[in-house]
Amino acid sequence: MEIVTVHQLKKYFGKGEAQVKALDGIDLSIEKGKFTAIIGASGSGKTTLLNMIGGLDTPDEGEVIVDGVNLAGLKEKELAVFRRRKAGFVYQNFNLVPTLTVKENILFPLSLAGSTPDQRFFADVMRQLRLENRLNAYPHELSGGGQQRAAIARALIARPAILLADEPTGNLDVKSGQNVLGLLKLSVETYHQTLIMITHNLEIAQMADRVLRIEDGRLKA
Amino acid sequence: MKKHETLKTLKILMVLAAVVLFSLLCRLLWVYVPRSSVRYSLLAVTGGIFVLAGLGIWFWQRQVFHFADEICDTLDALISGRQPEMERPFEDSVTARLQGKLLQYYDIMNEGKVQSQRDKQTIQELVSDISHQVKTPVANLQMFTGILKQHQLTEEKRAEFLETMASQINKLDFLMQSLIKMSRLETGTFVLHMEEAPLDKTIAQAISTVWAKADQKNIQLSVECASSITAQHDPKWTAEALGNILDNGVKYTPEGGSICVSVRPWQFYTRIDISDTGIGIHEEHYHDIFQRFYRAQETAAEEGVGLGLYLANGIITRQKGYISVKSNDGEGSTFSVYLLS
Amino acid sequence: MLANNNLKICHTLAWRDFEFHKVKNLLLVLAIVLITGLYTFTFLLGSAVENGFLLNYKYQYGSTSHILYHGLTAHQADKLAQHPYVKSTVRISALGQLSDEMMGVRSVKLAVTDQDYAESILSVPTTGRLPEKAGEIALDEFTMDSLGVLHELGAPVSIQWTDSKGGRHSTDFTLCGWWASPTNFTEACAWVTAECAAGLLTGYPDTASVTMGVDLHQPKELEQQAQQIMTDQGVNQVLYTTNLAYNEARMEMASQHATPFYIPALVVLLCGFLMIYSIIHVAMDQDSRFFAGLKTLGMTPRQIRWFLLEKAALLSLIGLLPGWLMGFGIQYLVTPRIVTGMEQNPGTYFLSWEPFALAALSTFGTVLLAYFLPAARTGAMMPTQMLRNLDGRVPRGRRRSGTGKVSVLRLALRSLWRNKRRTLLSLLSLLFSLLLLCSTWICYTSYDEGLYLNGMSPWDYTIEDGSAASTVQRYNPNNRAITEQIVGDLRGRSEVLEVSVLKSKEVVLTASDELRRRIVDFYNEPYDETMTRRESQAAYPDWCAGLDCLEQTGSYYGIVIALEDAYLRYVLDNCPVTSGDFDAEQFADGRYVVAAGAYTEGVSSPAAGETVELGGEQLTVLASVMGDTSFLSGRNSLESSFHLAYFVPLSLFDRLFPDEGIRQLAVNIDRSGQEEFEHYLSSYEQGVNRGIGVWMRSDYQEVFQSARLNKCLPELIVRIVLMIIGLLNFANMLVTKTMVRKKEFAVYQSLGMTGRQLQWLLLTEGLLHGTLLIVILLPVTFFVTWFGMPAVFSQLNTWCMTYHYTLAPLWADLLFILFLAVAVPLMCCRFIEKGSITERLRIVV
Repeated sequence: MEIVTVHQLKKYFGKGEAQVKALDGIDLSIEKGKFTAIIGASGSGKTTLLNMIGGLDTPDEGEVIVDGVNLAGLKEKELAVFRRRKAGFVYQNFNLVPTLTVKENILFPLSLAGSTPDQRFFADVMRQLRLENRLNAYPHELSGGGQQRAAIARALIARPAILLADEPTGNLDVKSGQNVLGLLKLSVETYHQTLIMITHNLEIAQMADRVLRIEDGRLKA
Repeated sequence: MKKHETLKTLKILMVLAAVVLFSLLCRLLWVYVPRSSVRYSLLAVTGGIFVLAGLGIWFWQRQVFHFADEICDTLDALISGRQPEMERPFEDSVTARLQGKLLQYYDIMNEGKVQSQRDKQTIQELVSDISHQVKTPVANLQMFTGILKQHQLTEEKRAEFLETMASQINKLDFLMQSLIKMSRLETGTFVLHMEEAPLDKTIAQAISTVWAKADQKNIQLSVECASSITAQHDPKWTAEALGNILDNGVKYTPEGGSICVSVRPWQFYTRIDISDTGIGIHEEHYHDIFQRFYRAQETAAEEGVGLGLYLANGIITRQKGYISVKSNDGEGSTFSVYLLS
Repeated sequence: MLANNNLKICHTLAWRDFEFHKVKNLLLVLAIVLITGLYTFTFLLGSAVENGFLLNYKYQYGSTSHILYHGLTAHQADKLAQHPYVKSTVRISALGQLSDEMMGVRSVKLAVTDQDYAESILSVPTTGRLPEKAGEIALDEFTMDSLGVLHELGAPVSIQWTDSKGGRHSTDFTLCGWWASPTNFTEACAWVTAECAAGLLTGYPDTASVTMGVDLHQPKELEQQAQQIMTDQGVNQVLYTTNLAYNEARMEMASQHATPFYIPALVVLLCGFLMIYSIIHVAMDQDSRFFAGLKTLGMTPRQIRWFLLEKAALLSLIGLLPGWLMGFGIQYLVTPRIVTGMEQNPGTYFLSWEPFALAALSTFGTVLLAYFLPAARTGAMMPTQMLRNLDGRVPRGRRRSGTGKVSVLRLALRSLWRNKRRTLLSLLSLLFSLLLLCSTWICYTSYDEGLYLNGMSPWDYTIEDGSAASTVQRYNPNNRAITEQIVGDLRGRSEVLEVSVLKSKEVVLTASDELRRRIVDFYNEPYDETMTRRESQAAYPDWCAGLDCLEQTGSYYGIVIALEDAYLRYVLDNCPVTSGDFDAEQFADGRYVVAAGAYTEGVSSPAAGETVELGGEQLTVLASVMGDTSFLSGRNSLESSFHLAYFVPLSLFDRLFPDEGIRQLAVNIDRSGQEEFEHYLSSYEQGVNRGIGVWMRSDYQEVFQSARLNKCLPELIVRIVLMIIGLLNFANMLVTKTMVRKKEFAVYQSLGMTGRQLQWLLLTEGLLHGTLLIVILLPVTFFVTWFGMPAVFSQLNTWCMTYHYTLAPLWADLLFILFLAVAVPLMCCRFIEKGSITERLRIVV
């Protein structure tokens, strides 16, 4: 069953001669519950593709269908709801809200939706990601790995259909990178999530069920 | 029932209270407000407030009904297995929120159905794989049995054929064992007994299965593991997985090479590195080697069915750990097994 | 659609923002305090000025009641009080009028004490108390002066009075209290107790005539309502007067007077917006990233709006109380200088909640505007778009240095070109406030003391009769405070060069048909496009009544003014002749009068050659002039609001009206003896108990100084505060520009830049910014004020100003800018170098 279908996706930046084709006609479908890694050199359009799937950017041509919904038909305020309900983001630089505690950060997507957390699920995720003891700390008081684990927990808490990770270990040293990565993979498997992860590290990509290679805005088989 | 009746009484009381309040207002107005224009405008203003409040309640009620209707529609669609039609699924409204949750629930429930279907398919694939793999040795056996039956052979020849047949039977046995393990792994019928156990014993057990082979090829085996290190794992199966990786290493390491096992405890994971000085794996195949029945071209010469690493990966993953590999082509490879501390 | 209730998180975010960005928020709160203060001050001052005018009208009218009914019986009063229009009433029953000859035309009622009524006519003793025992009496100071009562409690008072039937009485009282009433001309009372009244007048209270003050529910169209009440209640033939303060033209006038005081609010709005906007804008990149992050996590535009709203509300709320206090404080100090002539402090007397509420609302509006304008732009943007916008603003490498060598100066120059918008905003807000301040300051310094003194006091000293010592008092010719002896004494002093006497007399005259027609026609001519001259005077009902009387009956009030020496010279100099020829010698002859009308064109008085009968003599009009009688002290009677003035020589006046008192004296002295003479005058003033008023030249100097300050004070304060906000903003810009690059500096240092070099870099940057500001501010301010101010100045149209160009505020401002440009970077240095380099390198922006 496909959770994400991308059809002839194109995105250009700049105008005239300086125009760059970030994405140049991508067709893709991603199966539910699988771990897909996207690899490619920097500037090849990985992040742009991920942003499109997550509803963070609008394509110039083509369409993105996530869980049966065509994103082109959504307005910005609906996209916001889409993002907090269907997509969980994990970034290289964590993107935690600095003014909220770890717990508040993790529950943020739920707070935005106005719903209350499922306490058991929350405790479960916290145990899984070893965050039980740091819930009342502020993000800057945590190590890089700790911050990334909080970000993963935040991405998981709303049980989104897809988890989008953009080089989640990019800002971490190898050791905490491997730690975080293991926990991410574990969580994804435990909660039957679909994970799409950008990386340029083949070592990491080997853990995926499927590896997609992007070069110059095109998918390479 | 009781609650319902109290509500009813409350409703009647509220209507009565409204009537009393209104008549009180009228009386107050007529007694204390001398100017009739003021009196009537006060009355009109109060009436207006009443009407507005009524309208508000009415509007609210309508919204609640509408809400219930929409939820019911969604549920109806889900009951009859259709994809529910929603006008704006990502509206920032309570209805959309609830509908989203319902769909999510439905999807998860559906997951079970899909899973069992997938299992069926896996078993079918397995059967076909097994029949395919078993075909050659069985055919060999049949052939040799036929020869042995029909022809008068010298004792020497007969002994040679029997030897070949024994090796085929051994291969068949190994294949069957692997296939059984694999099928149990795939269908999830095996039970892992996770416990906090010392790793050095598990590693020792794994090494013991390849010791003889390594000795034969003159490969040096070394282990770096403090006895105090423990990890969450099932010792028997983990030893099996490690054994498979070691076996793999021994197989592809030329004579006189070395295999080194080292253990490092990390924050959440314990990392077991198994490095060999073998032929190595090309970067592009990192992902493939853990696939079922995958055999690299360079390894065609060696015997094997391509199940060892697949099994090892399956066992470790089920223990909430994972395996990664890193290799320099021609200089050997390092398999890292990560077990939860 | 049931809307989702998910705004609680915005609340948390808004609150946390305060904990995390203390410096920025503190600065914002400070700016908001200043802005709230300015709004509060402006609105309070405006309302105080408006109310001050209205109160002044009430003083003129003599009562705070909307309508006064006179000469009622108790029964009639009860009836009127029951009318539904009536909100409340106060009343007194008067025993009669004081009829002492010394009272002159002032009408003072002998009445029974009524606290409410006394309050409504502002006649509550300020010394002593209202009478409580029989035989006690409370009076106002003017009456006391007229009767020659000593200013001490318990002094004996002997009063002659006439009851309503015409019976004359004479009674002795003891004084128990007095007050200095500004309402001396129409409604004055002498208070006695009820028991005392019963003893004095048989049949009291039935026979007493009742005066009732009525407050209406809706104080509009008082005349009609007064009539309506009377006809509805069947009470006829009763005299009534309506309060001037509720005259619509008057109210409009008051709000017109107050309008200039409200105008600074607009400037506050504009500048306040600029200031807060630029403070917010300084952290724009950071905020944009923050919002983009929030949007990524699924924050809807509505939630972001709510977050901003809460933040704005929170900031305004915090700034509110101190802002109010500050505004009130400034107002408390300033208002008494602007609203004058009150017993109470106008700073507190007119206090009401409306200006505070208005200020709070305006502040909130300003802050909201500053928050929402930038948010509106990014509101509908996709988060990646927002981030791209930020990254897109890379400085274009126009002048990439060829050598590739990097010097501190070049690095600093680079930073100057970074975030040009931010620098521009700070520059604009500074420029704006600076221009405003400069223009106000130029106006302030342009007020010319010499011109003012010459205009206000053509002679060195004015000595006036006690009854004419203030502009609200009506001159009482019977007061006779200035005696011939004083004149003689003055003339006898060596330093006195000249003493000129002025006398005046109100007479009722009858106009010839020709004169009547001429005057009526004159006032029926158009005043401007919208109204006739007569209509332009609608705010002065007494004046209109006088003109109506002239039109109908031909009788009018004439004021005969005797002129001598200095006064004559003043009239000759300042009153343009409209007909005939004003020849001083012929005038001195004693056979001619000079008639004074209004306006320089058109004759609104008897013309030259006509005759007028004064004091029984037919006199020929020598000339008609535009009558400038601003040199007259005090005020004439209300009935004579519409009058024609006749100037006559003193000799003729004495012949026509012998035994008239002296209204005022003009004294010119040898300036070298000023001190001695003023000493003499003040000791003289204290010596006489009849009350004279002395206006000295130094008084005028003082008046000028304070008037000049008062004129500019509100504007000056507003602009100085705006200037402060502008400077704050500049400092804020420097701080943020530096702090945002904390990581960048760490990189520099990791590459081997020493702490000293870093300090030097920051200092250079600060100085460059300062220099940039100065380089732009200096010429722009100079040119704008140099060319713009004369044009503005010519519009001001104030007679006592001569243009005086100065740039003093600019210099002061430049000093501050330089100071900040040096001090801020040095201060920042300490914060920047906190933590090890590696720690700083790891900061995630």
